[in-house]
Amino acid sequence: MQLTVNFSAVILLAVALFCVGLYGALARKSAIGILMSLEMMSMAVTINLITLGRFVSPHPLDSWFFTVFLMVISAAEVGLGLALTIALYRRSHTSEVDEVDELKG
Amino acid sequence: MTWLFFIPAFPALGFLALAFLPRVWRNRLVYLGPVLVGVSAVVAVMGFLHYYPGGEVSHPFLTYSWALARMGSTQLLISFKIDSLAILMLAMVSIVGLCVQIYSLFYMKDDERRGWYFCVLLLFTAAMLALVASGNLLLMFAAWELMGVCSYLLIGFWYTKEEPRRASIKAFLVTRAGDVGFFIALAVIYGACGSFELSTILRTAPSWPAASVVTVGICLLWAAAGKSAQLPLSVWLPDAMAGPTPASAIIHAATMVAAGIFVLARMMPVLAQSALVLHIALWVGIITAIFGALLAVFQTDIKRILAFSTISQLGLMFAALGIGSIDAAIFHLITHAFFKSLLFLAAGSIIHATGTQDIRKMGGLVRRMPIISLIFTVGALSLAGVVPLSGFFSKDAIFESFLVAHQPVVFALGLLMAALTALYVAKTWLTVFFGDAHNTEAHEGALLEIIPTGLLAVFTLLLGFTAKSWLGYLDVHVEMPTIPMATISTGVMIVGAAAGFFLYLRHIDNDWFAARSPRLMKALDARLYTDAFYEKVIVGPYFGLSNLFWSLDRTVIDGVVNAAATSYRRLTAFAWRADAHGIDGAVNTLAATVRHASTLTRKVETGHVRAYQRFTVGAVILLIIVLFAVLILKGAM
Repeated sequence: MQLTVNFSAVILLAVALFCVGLYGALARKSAIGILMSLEMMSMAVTINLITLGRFVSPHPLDSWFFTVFLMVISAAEVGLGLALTIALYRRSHTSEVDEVDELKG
Repeated sequence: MTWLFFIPAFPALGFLALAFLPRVWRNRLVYLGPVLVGVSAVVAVMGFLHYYPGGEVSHPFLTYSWALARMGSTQLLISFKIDSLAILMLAMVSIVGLCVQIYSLFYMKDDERRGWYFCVLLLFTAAMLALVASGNLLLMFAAWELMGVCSYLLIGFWYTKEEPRRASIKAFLVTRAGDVGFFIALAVIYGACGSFELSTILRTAPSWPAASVVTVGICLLWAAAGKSAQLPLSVWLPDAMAGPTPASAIIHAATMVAAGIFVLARMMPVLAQSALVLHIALWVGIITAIFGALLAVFQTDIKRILAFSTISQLGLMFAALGIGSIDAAIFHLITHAFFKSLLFLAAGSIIHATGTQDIRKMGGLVRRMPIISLIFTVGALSLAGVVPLSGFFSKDAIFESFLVAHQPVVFALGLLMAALTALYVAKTWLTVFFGDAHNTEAHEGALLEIIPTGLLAVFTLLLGFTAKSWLGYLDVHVEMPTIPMATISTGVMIVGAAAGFFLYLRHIDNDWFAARSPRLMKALDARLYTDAFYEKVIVGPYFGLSNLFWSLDRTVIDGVVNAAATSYRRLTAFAWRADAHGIDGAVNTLAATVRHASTLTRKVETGHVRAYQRFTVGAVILLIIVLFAVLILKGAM
């Protein structure tokens, strides 16, 4: 069965995913939730990249390389973010970002 | 006989030994004073006997000198010269000094600073002995100045009281004024003959220029007038009575006042070059003699009577020097030294016994203290010039010399002075020893008072008629008074004494005179205005000048300094205001502005992560909108 992929549908999915992630990043209070939302936004970008590589670029393999690269960076980013969260918890026994405002002017 | 040079050294060593000891030790060692002066007296008398009756005035027995310092090619010599004049003086000074020292053992025994008193007395005696033994004007001047210091210390011995303090300063300043004359004379002498050695000076004196001779003569007269209390520098002596009585005795007899006469006698070959100088000495002397005797008549304080009598007797010696008669002057100096120190010491005993110095509060003492009265009487008769006491012979020797020098006016004035002397002596003697006794507790003197005064009384008795033998060895001869001379002087003395008796018996005292002639009595009370003269001419203008300088200092110099300070303070006040309002204001305004602005802007910094996220998202959206707007506008164009 030839699976047909609709370009517009995929782009719309990526947009939806990005918007959900952006909302989550802005609305969540938990540091972990914010991290997850950031990952969602990152995934939306990855989907966009794959889709545009499949339908627009003359060399589809280029987008594959970038995607793998992007996934590695995301993994590192998540590791860093979690480490920061743990450090924050150890310092102030909370992972709620609203509780921490030491840099208030 | 070189040990004669050590006569001044014994008391000087005593001074050095005592001066540096603590007070307690000095007070224990007061016996050192009489012992050391006694040694000096023994040595001096032995020297006298050794040379008696040889020697000549012009040829010193002994000379000795060593160089103290060198100025270029000239040596500054310190030298001693002992001739007949010096040895007579040495013997007199050390014997009188010894009597005063012994007497002081009694008189000062209860004073807590008696050690210091004996110490200064030793230095005083040493200085006088050095002065008479010196063969050099430099050493003489040093001893002269030393005596000034010692008299200052002795007169002001009870320095916690106002009167001795004033008197000591007065004596020091007045004699210092005289010392200036000595100093100028030293300079002129050095200019004239290039040496301070007495032998050189006296040898070359005839060849000096007349101006130098007159300058030296007048300056030396001035200096001697200061030390020997002659007019116009006599003002210090009556006040010098504020010191302890034995100190007065030594100042008045042996040391201080004798120094002036002695130096003039030493320098006589120089003075004799100028008739002018001798005339000044003669007239100053005889006027001072009358002045002192006249004022002595009206004194009521026993020590002041003796003080004015000293001035008067010294005036007689000055006058004798003024006709060039050294021998008569020195003869009288020596007899006067003995009877005047005797009078002072006896007066000290009387003051000690009665507790007053006012003769009107004494009286009847002949019954209470017969021995002291007898001794005082010997001195008083000698002072009045009664045969055969020593004062009679020495005074007549001076009167004779007036006649020999053809000075009838001076001779007449001398007789007047003798009459006045007899008058005040008789008056004082009667008032003190006879009449009603005011002091019932007065008692005979102690042995320590009677021994020294008795010794002096013996000398007073003997020195007169033996003068030809002991003084004859002074190369020049003192004639015994001739019969007419003795008759005249005794007659004058009797007239004076009779007047004294008359005044005493008729109770004619100062109040009687004051009632008859208030102005005259006032003048006599004020010592014929000699003190007032200095007050007006020297002290007053001096204070005026210092007040002027003080006010100049206050207004001009202080004014400048104060003006500078005030203007500087104004300037700094202005600068402070400028700083506070200008510079601080600018800085503060800037700081306030910055703080205000930051208060406004810091509200953005909430510290919440999500707020920053929202800002970021908002900013991105705004950026996109701007981007699109720009693209659309571009597309439209």
